[in-house]
Amino acid sequence: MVALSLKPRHGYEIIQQVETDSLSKMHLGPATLYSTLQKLLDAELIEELPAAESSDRRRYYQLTAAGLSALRADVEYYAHIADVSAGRLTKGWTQA
Amino acid sequence: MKHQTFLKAYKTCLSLYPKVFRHRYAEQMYLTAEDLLADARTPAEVIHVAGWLVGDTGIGLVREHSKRLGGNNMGKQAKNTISKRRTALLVLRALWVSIMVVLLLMPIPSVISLPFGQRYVDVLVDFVPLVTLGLSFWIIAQVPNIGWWKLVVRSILLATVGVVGYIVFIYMVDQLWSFYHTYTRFAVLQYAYDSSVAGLYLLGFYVVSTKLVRRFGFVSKRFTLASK
Repeated sequence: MVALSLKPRHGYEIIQQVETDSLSKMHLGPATLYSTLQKLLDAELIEELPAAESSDRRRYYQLTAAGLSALRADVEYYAHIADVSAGRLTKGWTQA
Repeated sequence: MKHQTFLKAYKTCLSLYPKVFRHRYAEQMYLTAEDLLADARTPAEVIHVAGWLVGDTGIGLVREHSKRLGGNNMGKQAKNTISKRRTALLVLRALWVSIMVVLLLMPIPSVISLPFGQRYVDVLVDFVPLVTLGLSFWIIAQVPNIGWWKLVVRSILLATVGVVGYIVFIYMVDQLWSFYHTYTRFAVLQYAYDSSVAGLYLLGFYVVSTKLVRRFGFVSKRFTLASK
């Protein structure tokens, strides 16, 4: 979902973006990617754009409004976890 | 286009995905794999990407089929079609296995002395269950696509091809083996041999009929990759 937050992307672009965003720690394969996209489509968190009239046969996916809200909520949650973790590391685990 | 051999193999792997998922994503997965391979610069990278794709696809196949078996399908209609087909196959396979078990447990003299003769026992054991299996595939697959009369005509034609082919095949095998005098003198082995030869033909018939169904029948909307 983070990979789709800036603009609609097709499968290969999503894979590349995930790799970049995760500092090359996450490598998605097509099977994993499309299985995940299927779940997100079912949950209506993303949507498939209508096929373009150009010769490009790739399908593009973009976040829906619900997807954007869910992403914001997730980011806030992980930001909170990161804050808590950083605070504990600074103070020391026993004092937190 | 580079990596054609691998991409052909990959395309074949994609055809193993459940129908609904395949229709929806196989072409996109293929295009993505094509991009990934095109992006690999060195032979080592190509091998790495290819190996990764194979692993990813294998896991994906298990995952999607597990979902399908678990009832997490992408459409009620598709679920019903798959369910009907699976039920028919299970029943027919159970029938075939039951008959085979009964026949194998029967003493050979009893089998041969059945009132309708050994050749008919072969037909009963091999032909009926397997051809019925193939025909059931055909009928279940065709119902949504064509009218009933066309279905009946096609089924009769298919059955005729099966019967005639079976007779011709057995006749040819008999002639060939009589000519070379290689028939075993032991009834048990002869019976086993006859059955396996007939079974081989019928297995071929079954495979071809199901392949035909896959090609022209209920998966006619299978993804097709436009030629590049």
